[in-house]
Amino acid sequence: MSIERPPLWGVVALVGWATLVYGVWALGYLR
Amino acid sequence: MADLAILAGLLVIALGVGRRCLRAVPFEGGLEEGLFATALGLGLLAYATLALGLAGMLGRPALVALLAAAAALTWREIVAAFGGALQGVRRWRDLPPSRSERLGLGLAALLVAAEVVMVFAPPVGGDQTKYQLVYPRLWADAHRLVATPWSFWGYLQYLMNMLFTAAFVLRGDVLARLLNDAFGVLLALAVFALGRRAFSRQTGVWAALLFVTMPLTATLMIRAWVEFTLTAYAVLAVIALLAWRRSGARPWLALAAVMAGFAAGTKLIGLLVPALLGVAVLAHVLRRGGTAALGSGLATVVGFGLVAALVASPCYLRNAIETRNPVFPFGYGVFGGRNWSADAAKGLDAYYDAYRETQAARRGGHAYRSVWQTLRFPWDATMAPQSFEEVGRSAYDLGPFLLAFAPGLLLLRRSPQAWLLAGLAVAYAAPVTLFMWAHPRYVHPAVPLLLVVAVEAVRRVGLWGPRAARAVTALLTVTVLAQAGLALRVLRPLWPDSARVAVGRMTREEFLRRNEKCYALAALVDAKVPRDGNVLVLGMIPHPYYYLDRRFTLASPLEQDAIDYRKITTLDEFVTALQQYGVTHVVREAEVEKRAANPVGERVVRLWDELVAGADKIGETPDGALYRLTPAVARTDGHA
Repeated sequence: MSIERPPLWGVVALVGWATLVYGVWALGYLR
Repeated sequence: MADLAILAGLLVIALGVGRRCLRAVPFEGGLEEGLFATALGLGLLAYATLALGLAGMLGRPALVALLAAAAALTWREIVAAFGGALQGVRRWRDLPPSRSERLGLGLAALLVAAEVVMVFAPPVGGDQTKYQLVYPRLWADAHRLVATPWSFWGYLQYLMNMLFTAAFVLRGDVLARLLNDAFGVLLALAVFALGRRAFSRQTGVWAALLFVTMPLTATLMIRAWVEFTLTAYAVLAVIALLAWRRSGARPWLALAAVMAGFAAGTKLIGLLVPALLGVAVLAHVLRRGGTAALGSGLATVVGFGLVAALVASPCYLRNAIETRNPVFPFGYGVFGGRNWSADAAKGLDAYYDAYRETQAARRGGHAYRSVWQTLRFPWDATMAPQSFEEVGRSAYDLGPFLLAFAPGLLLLRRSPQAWLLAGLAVAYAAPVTLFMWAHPRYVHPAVPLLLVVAVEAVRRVGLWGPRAARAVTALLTVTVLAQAGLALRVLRPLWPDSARVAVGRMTREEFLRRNEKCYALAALVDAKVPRDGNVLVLGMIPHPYYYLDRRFTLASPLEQDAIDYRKITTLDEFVTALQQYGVTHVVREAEVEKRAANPVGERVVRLWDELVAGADKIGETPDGALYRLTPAVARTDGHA
């Protein structure tokens, strides 16, 4: 199966969103 | 050890029986064949147990004879399966597996081993001691299925509860919980198989690792629930669907229908599985053949639905025969049903509404009242999983990965497999959260499907170069390790005592005295009530009656309508209503802080107080008191 590289804007948006989720999730335990 | 040996025997026989039935399916590998065969064999064992129970033959001799006959008929299949398994292990070692794969497998094996240790101690906590194990044990003791007009939970017993029943017949609760764990491991392997079939081996490995280390998985491994079974059958049905879409082989489609049927036969919500897969089947036929294929598409879907309905039907038929309602006590407006009423249904709804509201306050919010509010569910389920049930945060934690990377689906634009998996997951979760109960455990079948999609999305990000690839591996590794740490936190409170029980350094009684709040009351009952006694339990909400080693009758105003408090106003009427059950003793539970008022009102408490006022008190614990009914009130010619 040929695998397509995702567009950069999509990667940036996904990483930004994931950073927010991981951050809030971790803060919930650190509080 | 005997429990593990019996479990191994059951799994091997299930594998043999399943393999014999699945000869027509063109499997590509031994793992998928083994998973489908074992799942099919266990499903058939569940229904065989149900049949024995209905026939009043639910004894060890009958069940052992059935298993021995199955083993004798399929031993060649079993030998061949072991040969195939050995070859598979050799092929895996020759690959060779990557270092991260070996480490991940080691970590998963350690975690599963730690979880299995806990199964050797008596069950504590969760719904397992309220209804999942209660009725299977009752039936095993009675060698038949027992009518429980005093509790609708006796009719919310489906496929996995039949397997629990078989476990009680053969051995006891350790074997029952080991069967739950077996489904957990089977599901983890199915997640790997799904990821591998849909995308790649690496996707399958990481999705399975993320699933095994998820703290919610640890909770489900140490308690006998039915989520693993439902989700395992759902994931296997999806794998079969993918295989049929690719190969066009009809046996795959039939197998998808059988697995979807087992999912529906495991839990009421599971009826969504064959419904959604039926839509996916029709969509695929129409996409291939256009509108001209509508006729053949509908015929295919009807055939799919009939097979799934047949496989799902046994437990629903039992309910229909015994209560006149296949989905008792739900759907009362449509089906009606014995020992239930519209008022009772309304009271139960009000109770659960209040329960949801109380729990939602733990996230500083309210229970969802609209579609817009329900859209918060993925966020709340990730950030505040303790706001759906009375548990600590880590117990129901799904980890951050799903919410963070499931939107990566948008990066998989040209991957129909990804959209199919995500579509099925959302189509399953949406009606559950909107119309049933927005709860992390109730959307469990959606979790592995989205995990596979999210892992694939992250792996695509790694295509941006060596640094991106290393970052992706690091992210997955850190997530797995963080989840594993939280999973250990889930295990920690009960693990040391459980391990002592497992190695014989603590008795089950001592374990329960130390860890189960309600055990003192149950022990009092066991000490004071004769073996032929029947204990009437006066309590508002279900407590762990599992530990009562005596016959019992529940008189909650919430979960039955056989003792109809709406029509009972005097003590004499109450006593008359009770006499058909042959109760001899009464447990009056101490009032706990109630999540919601009982649906009838204070009259219930007054009736209870009047009943025990005329009885002899023979003992008391902080959780409640035990009374002996006077001969004028008690009758011992009633039912179990």
